Amino acid sequence: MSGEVSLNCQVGRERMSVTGGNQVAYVLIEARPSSAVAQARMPLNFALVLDHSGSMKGAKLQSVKEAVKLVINHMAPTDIVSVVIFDDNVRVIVPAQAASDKMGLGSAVDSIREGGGTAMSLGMSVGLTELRKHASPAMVNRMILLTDGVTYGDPDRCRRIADDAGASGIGIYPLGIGADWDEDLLDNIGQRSSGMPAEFIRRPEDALGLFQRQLQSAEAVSVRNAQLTVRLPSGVTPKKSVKVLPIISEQSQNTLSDRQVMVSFGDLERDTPQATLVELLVEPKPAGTFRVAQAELSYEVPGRGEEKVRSDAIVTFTNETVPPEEANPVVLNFVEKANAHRLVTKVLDEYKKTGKVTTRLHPNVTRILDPETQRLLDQVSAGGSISAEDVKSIGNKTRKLTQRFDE
Amino acid sequence: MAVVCSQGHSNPDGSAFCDECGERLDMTAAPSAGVPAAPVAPTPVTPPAPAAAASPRLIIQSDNAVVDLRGKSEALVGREDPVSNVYPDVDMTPHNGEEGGVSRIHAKILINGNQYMLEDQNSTNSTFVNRQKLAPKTPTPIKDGDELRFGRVVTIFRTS
Repeated sequence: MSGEVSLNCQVGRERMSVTGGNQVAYVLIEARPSSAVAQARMPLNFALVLDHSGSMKGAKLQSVKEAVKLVINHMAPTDIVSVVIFDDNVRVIVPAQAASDKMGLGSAVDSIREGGGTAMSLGMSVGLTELRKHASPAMVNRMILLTDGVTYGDPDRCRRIADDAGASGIGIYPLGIGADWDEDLLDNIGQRSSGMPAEFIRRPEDALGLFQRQLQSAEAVSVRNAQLTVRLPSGVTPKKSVKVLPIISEQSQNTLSDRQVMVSFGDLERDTPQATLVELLVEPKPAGTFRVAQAELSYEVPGRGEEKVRSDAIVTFTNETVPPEEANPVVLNFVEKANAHRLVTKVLDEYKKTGKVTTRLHPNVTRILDPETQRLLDQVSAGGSISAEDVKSIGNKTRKLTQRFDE
Repeated sequence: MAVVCSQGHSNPDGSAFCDECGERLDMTAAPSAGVPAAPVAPTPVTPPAPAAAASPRLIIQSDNAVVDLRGKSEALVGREDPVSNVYPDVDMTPHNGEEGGVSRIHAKILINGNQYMLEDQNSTNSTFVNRQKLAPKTPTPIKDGDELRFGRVVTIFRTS
């Protein structure tokens, strides 16, 4: 039986004028776990991979240890947990085991001391080994990866491990603490493994809440390994594809072939819809009704195997002039926010590379940002400088634009 | 076919926002009037567009630069050369005009109300409308959406 997930396509404009030229069509594709889905919580298989390099000394390491103990305390006794720490070496503090001996696990975590440099791939690779001991399609298999710094000499190895993890159904959820971590690398690790881009722990006291949220999100998983395929008829090509829910993340152009767009949704959590916005270029069409895209979502239901659900995106071409008010406001709202995210990311990338910003953003981009972000962007546009923490904070807030309810 | 934002960035019809600067664009693409730019496409039979306030301009494809032709009755397309005292209205020098084979005096756009003509001025590398080569010194009607090519420099002519 399917029906665990509903899939819904909405187009930017249901009617478009016959113009004799190419036109852009926006399609929003949303996957939503239905309320009928079994409320049973899937067992968790967690590896907590922690940076304990010298720079973690003090409040950072202390609050991370408290947060890890809290996560372990809240896990079910039948869940599996492992704890791996790395500097330029790696050590398994807790080998993969049932999270039942809370006391013993807690004192193992307490024994962590700071020291050494940062070689993240070592930690990731050993964490993956611990996860694989128990990993199964019936469990939520996740690596929580925490670091405060830049890894030296092994970012490519980190990316390869992320690919391996993704291929075995293990998502990596990176957490960056402080100002020095490499957000491009951590985001990339999250996305490649079908986990999430990095979360920013701005102050040590925020660690508790963020670790707790990792646990809650894993406990809400209802179907696994969701893969969206958007097939396009001839005369329709993809221009862009952007994940817009739960957070905004642009897809690299190489996932767009001429005839289809593939998006990995990973685990679907109860009450958390996932959505992708696809921008299509439609070649001239005569008057009539056409399917411009067909979306198919495949996913795994624990204990039952793979299921599929489909939805079509339909546009009617007409010889009349279609007034702009006919555009779907929900779709346009996502288009606007994805656009703002893309341009703000462009500004930040330029600033990180050159220390200057030449891209001029139109006021209707900046107006949807929060006042602090607006002020910081004005500052860099005027030739001023902002801190590395500010850059991370803007990036983190901008990708959450679609979570804000407005208008 | 393209919509151009106030900073001159060109975007495909139906775009909601400018790709370059994020400006909100008007998504309404007017139904086609006359022959589409591609000569192979079938010609939809539709009445001509109402005479709106025309703002003739050239959009240079390589860099999306927009050259405004409003208020002119004649516009020279070429390359500036102070030595021979040539100062074209549309100077292709900053748009790779020299490498693109644009002559100093290459072609003229003639504007009379809502009527537009293009006349090649015996250029070395010829002038093309929708890939059709023009005979020298022979004014040829052009309209909104036509692709005008000067040597190897491709532009789109827009009036609306």
